[in-house]
Amino acid sequence: MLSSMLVSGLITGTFYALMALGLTMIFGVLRIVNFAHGEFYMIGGFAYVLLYHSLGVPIVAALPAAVVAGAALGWVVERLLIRPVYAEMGARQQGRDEYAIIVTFALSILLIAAMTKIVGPWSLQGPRLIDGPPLLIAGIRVSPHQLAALGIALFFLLGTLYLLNYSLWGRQIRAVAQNRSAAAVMGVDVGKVSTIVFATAGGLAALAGALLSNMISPSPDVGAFPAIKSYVIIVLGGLGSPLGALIGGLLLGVIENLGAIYISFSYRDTYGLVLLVVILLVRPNGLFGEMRREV
Amino acid sequence: MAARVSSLRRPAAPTSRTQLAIALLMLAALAPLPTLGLEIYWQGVVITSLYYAMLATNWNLLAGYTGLFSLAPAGFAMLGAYVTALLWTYAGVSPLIGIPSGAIVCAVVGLIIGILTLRLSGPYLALTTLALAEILRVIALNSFDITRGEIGLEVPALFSHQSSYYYMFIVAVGCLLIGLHWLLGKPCGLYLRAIRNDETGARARGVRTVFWKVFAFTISSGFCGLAGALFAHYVIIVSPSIGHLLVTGLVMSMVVLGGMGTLLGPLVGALLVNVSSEYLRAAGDYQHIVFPIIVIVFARFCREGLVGRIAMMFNARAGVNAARGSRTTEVLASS
Amino acid sequence: MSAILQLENVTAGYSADIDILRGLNLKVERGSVTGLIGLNGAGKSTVMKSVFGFLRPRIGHVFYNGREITASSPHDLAAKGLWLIPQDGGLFDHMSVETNLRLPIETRRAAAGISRAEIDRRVGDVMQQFPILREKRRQLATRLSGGQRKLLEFAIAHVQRPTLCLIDEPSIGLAPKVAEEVFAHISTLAKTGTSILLVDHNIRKVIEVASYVYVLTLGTVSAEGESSAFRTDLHGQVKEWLGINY
Repeated sequence: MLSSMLVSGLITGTFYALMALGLTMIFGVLRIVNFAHGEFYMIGGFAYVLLYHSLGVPIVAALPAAVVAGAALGWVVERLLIRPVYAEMGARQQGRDEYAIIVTFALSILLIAAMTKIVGPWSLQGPRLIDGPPLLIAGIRVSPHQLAALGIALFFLLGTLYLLNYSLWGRQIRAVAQNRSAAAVMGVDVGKVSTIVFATAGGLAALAGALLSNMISPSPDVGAFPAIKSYVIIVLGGLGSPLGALIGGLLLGVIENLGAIYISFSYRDTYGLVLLVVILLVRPNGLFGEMRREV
Repeated sequence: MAARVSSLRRPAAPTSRTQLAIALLMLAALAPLPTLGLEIYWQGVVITSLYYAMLATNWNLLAGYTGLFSLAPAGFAMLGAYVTALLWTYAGVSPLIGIPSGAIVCAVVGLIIGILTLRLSGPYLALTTLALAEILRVIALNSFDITRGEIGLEVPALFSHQSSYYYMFIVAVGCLLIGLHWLLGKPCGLYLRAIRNDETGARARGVRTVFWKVFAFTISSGFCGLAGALFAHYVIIVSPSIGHLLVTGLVMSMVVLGGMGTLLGPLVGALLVNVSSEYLRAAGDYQHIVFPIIVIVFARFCREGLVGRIAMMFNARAGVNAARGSRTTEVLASS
Repeated sequence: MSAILQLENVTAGYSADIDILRGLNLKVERGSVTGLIGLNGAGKSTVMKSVFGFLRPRIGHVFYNGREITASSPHDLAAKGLWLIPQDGGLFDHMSVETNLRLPIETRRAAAGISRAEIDRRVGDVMQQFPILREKRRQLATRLSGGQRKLLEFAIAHVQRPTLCLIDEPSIGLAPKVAEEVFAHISTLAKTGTSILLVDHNIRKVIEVASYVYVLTLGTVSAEGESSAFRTDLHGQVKEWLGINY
């Protein structure tokens, strides 16, 4: 029982980490929190489900298409709403934070409302990636679908982390996060990096939405909780720290599952808040404040 | 030159006394409408607008004057409403005690969250309040045995006539605005605005920034709770929908549209947004699409909002007059 | 036109109604070290920012190598062979010394047409030149002392082999001995063919290193000339231009 809950906690945590990684990358590079992050998740879920059910697109094409939809949305949002402010406001921190919170929160409500108008308020279950009888691995029952979803999530999660640390592209992103002007001096197009990061974050969140659409059917407001959990995770891991997002995600997944056994199942979404309060009390800079730079 | 100096010395908006007078006049103009035959339905719209105006005014104290962003005005309203509802349902406590209790509980929760998040620099308040608001809502939804979930708890009405609520909310908004005006006139008002403009600078000048930020957030949370508790006894059913994030979204639209950091803005915004919501809802639930777009457009191109923009126009004219006046004095002096 | 950098009538400032630079004219000859001196607030650092695209001049033009680069973005300028050593904060604190050395040249590799072998060679050379950096190659930049940080910034500039290098207040906050070393590195950089525009408060050292000197007062050039002309009566001239006893 305990070990199976631990494993399922780690599985849930992987999907949380997928969302939190993008969020923390956006914070690292742009110093803003994207309050519409849950809606990238939602768009990914719907893109996958609707492409499959309404247009008959096969799963192998619908899944990448969902990722592209999320990335495209991220691209547009950065170019249209975030970029101009950076160009205009420069170093004026206060105006920028204010604008970013208002605009991304409004965007979140707009996307939920628009999606409700388009598809209605109800939820639609996504197709399984693979059909088949559940497998028994080390005493834990998992369906082939869950296994495939987990594999894809892990691949993208670790792949992004690998690229961030070892590719030129990733090191440039970290360079912008650590020191924007020095990155510009050495020839990094800071605006382009910001757009790429927003698009990547959108794509990762959309992937999570699509992969989970079979277990949590997408509805227009489905993104609220994944988003809130990723906010908890990025505070837990340290704002702007990719590794912190991974470990924080896994930790939250495990804690929620343990709470579900030992305290109560119906409140499992609330344990994140308790965790958040504890971190703010004990270690406000998070577990890994690596990329944080005091301005 | 004189114009520039005067614009530096004066706040961007006209003195908030003018705005307070306009706000009180607006409330006074609304007051006789029920006796002049305003339909019950539209009375309800005005009451809801005034409830929103209370939330918006409190959100404005944070966002507009102090530069803090809470995403839980609706969450605190819901918490205040549930406090009075639970006290009534399980202890038979009268609303006269339940309503202030709601306000106090919210203030205490606000105090705790404030102490936790406001000593840190960064987006911690926004993140934590968002989590708090949604999680409180889920607790209310899931604790069916206690809160009866989505069905909600019934609470007693305060008055038998709707017009009584109408007057009550007019008085409540009036008191809130007078209180805020009084507060902003004290040194504290200056500290809050200093924090919004330049927190590091304010701290360097000896302002206890963390204390005043926590103070503003505590008051704002308490009054949101009060508004929610009052509203609960008007709608006589307390359900998690009071705390929905869409409500926070509407509150934000009202302040951004009316004018952040202006005394009058939230009231104007609340009336504009809520009344036009009625038409947008009738047209097919477009309010949650239209207002976010307006918010984004205003945040980008008209940060000072409607009231702020109008005030700036007045100020510019006053500035020109001042400049002309000073030139006249110079000419007189030199001759 | 033999000047590598030319500013023509440049007017620039941070807020709409205050000009920091007022009709500034300035030239850096190819292969030379040009010095820029002036009081605090004269606009020295603003010159650097206006050239490097962090500040868009309101009026006037900036030419690099005969081509207009007014208001180009920093990354375009980096690709064209410009480099800036800022007054402070030119490093990536949470990256190792070696990554700090390699990342800029790897970023410019495609634009500059440099092979990977060449990068390795240049980094190796610089490690020879700066033994302290080789010793600390695996440490995070944040662990370096102020002087070591400045050396690392010069090492990075050496790796770039830039056509034009802007150096903003390199000796500020450094011990005199380290400052000496820094100025030696400026001369070495110049000998490799890099043209340099140097701003520093240490007027004596600037005049020693530079071949041509501009004096900046309230955003315009108030005096200029061959540095040899300045050496003869430094004290009297500085007093005359800047109104201070030196």
